[in-house]
Amino acid sequence: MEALLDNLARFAEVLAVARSPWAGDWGEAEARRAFQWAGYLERLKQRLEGAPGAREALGRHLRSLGSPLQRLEELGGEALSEALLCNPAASAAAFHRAAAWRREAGGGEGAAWPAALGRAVRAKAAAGLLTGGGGDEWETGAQILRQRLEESLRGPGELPERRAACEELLNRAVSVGGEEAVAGLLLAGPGGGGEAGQLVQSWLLGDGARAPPARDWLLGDGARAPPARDGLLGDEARAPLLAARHPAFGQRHLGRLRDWGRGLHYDASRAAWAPRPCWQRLLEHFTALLQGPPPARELAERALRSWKRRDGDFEVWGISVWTDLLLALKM
Amino acid sequence: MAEGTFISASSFEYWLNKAVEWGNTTTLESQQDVCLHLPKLQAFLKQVSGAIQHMNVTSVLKLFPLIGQLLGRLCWNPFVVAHEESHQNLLHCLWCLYSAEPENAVELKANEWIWTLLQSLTGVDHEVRSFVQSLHYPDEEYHSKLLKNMVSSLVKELQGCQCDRSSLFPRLPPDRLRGYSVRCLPIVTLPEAFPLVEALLTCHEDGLDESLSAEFLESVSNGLLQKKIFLSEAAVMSLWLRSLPSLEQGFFHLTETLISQPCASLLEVEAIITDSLLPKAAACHPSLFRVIDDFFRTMLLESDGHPKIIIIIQAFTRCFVQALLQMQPQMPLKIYFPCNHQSLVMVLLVNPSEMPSAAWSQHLMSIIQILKGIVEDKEVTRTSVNLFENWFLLVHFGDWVNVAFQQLMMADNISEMLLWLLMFYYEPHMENQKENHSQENMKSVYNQIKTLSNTSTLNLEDLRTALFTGNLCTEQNHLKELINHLLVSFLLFSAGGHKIAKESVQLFTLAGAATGGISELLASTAHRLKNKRCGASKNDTVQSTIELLQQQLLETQSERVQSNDILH
Repeated sequence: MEALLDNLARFAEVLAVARSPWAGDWGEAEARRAFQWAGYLERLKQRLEGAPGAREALGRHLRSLGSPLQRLEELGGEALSEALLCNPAASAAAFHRAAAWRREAGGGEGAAWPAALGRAVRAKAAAGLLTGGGGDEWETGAQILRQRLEESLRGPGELPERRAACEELLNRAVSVGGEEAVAGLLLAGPGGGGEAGQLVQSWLLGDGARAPPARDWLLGDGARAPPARDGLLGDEARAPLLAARHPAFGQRHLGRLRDWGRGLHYDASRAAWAPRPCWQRLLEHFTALLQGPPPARELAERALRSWKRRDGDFEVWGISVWTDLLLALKM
Repeated sequence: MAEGTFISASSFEYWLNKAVEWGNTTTLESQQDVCLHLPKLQAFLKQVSGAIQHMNVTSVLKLFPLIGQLLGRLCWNPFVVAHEESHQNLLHCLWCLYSAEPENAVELKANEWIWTLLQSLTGVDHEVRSFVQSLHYPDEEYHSKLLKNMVSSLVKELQGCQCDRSSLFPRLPPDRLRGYSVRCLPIVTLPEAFPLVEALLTCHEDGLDESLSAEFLESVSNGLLQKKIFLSEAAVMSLWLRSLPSLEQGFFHLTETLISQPCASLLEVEAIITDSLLPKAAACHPSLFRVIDDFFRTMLLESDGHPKIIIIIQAFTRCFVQALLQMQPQMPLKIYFPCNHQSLVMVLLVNPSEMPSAAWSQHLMSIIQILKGIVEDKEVTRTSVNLFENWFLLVHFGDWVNVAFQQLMMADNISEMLLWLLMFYYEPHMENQKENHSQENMKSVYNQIKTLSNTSTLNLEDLRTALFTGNLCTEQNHLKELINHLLVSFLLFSAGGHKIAKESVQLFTLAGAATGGISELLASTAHRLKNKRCGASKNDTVQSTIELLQQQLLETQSERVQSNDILH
């Protein structure tokens, strides 16, 4: 019995791999072995044909493994071939072995691709039909990122382990170009991403030792000259939204703007602050903040006035960059 | 091999050229062109897959050298791939081309080509691919979520333009709306797309021309009838308002179902009619009612007043009136019945079940008086159209005619008026001399029957004599039918009638009229009596007599069929 349960668990794992990107690593040998397992499962199912009690017990064991599979019937060649054929990441060897199995099992006449493949193909084409602004791809990316993060947070193990798992997930996601998804998550619906959003926030703004490599992009590289528009906070369209949702980001954003402002000097000959592009960017950022959601607006106003006060509270041009900004913004 | 020759090389060329054309442009016109050709393309692909399913790849390529190019190009067209039937046939062709045990280089190459094709058909686009894979998220689920998000963005955009005319929000330009409807056409049967279909149908528009593409509306209508799409009532009504062909389709689907299925009872019939949503739509939108009424008018005329059609009209009208009474606010009846006197409409609209049976005679009298007044009005030219419209209105509310039959057997004083009504119903067109003659005939038949109802012992001979006095063979068919129906109501409603019901069945066919209309009469009477809220104890005898007669009719009919079979 033990051995039987072990084998079930083994096959469930094989099936899980068949659905994952790791199926791309399967060579001829691995594919053949996987279908040998499937064959074993088929014979087992046949033997247990008239024993519903035993099947129930095995089903319970499957569920206790935490597997998404519920019943013994779901294991076997049908499931394996379907998983491989519907997985675009599967290797050529795995695909061909799965197709051949299907041909044989279906007796040549009634066989066809699994219905799930048809559905997958139709779903992708349907999305292709309706494609509009392009914003939807990363919005979806943000949703699935949030789903995975929440699953990890609820997973087994202690809190620090779970958080570490989440951070690894985030690092991996961002390393393959998922910054937009992170941005989307932070800016999502009411509540700004919920639990997952807070996790991301602390991951981004946490202490330097664990600072992810993505952070610089996300927060906008402070070292580079201000005209750069990268990252979340560099983009004046999104920065106010972010600042309004998450106060920590707001503080950081204003801190950056303050640093920029301090780096400017007044060029009396031209009666303007130099370097000019930097002044322009500063103006654009503050304009966007003041036109943004109320929390962002209040934050920006308060900051500007307090900095102006600290500089001496002058009302004339050329002395404090903050005064001039307020004048330029007609406040 | 022989099947392959039915598909000519030129048809392959034709479709390949089409596929190339569609691939080159992404304009609205080329998209509409794809949608127009989808039904034919799907049939072609089915033919092809049927032809190649027992052949190996090498033979297929010899026979149809262009097949690879064609399938490849079609797979790049999302309109084709997203369309339900086309994608099934496309995938089946690929399945047929796949070799489980490749024997040569060609077959190996074909397998590999199929593999890469399927990868690109299911795999996430490269922009997001690494990201999605890093999360171990299945591609299909990603696409399904993506689709849902796209649908909800589009729905938001469409609903954002629902504001009233005075608002400053820009309305969606009609071209954009058309573009969306064209792009939505292949996926109307996908559950994820239902909200988009709803939003498109219920989107308000300024202009008089229909913005949504006609093919889109047709697909939705087909999908609804095949029960592949599920929409809200408002969306379905909007579809019918926008597209007359879809209303026609819905209407004829209903009537065909009702005519071809032998329904056990009128209750079932009414349930089917109500489910179709047509009565409610007709109540909410008078223009729809008038169109549907016109369909009924035509059907009635073309079938020469077939009893089954009349039953359907009457059942529909009952459902319609029920829906009408629940409308808030109620619209004036004139909008629904523009060709009829409002006073007539109002008296007919009341259902007999809504009032105690004691009040029936009086109500019938008002109906008859008003109707007589209209029909015999010397000042108005008595055109056949006028006559028809009034008669047609009466047909809608046949329950009152049914009540008239019952009252004839019970009340005495108003029998002349009731007979007038019945004669009008069964034979509205009458020239004066004939009219008087027939009236006399009818009266005498009726009087004889009425006398019989008072005798304690009835026999068949007496009944036969009563029915066939006078020169009945000279009467028209419809009046013979009336006599048959008088007989039926005698059997149902007079004191001794039910005792000789069984034997009387043979009298139905003696006059030469078919038994047509009798089963419908029985069904209507049963249905009306069941509905009554203030019932008399007489009902049980009546119901059992009805059932007895129905049973007898079935037996005689099956006997006749059997004897016909034997004869042939």
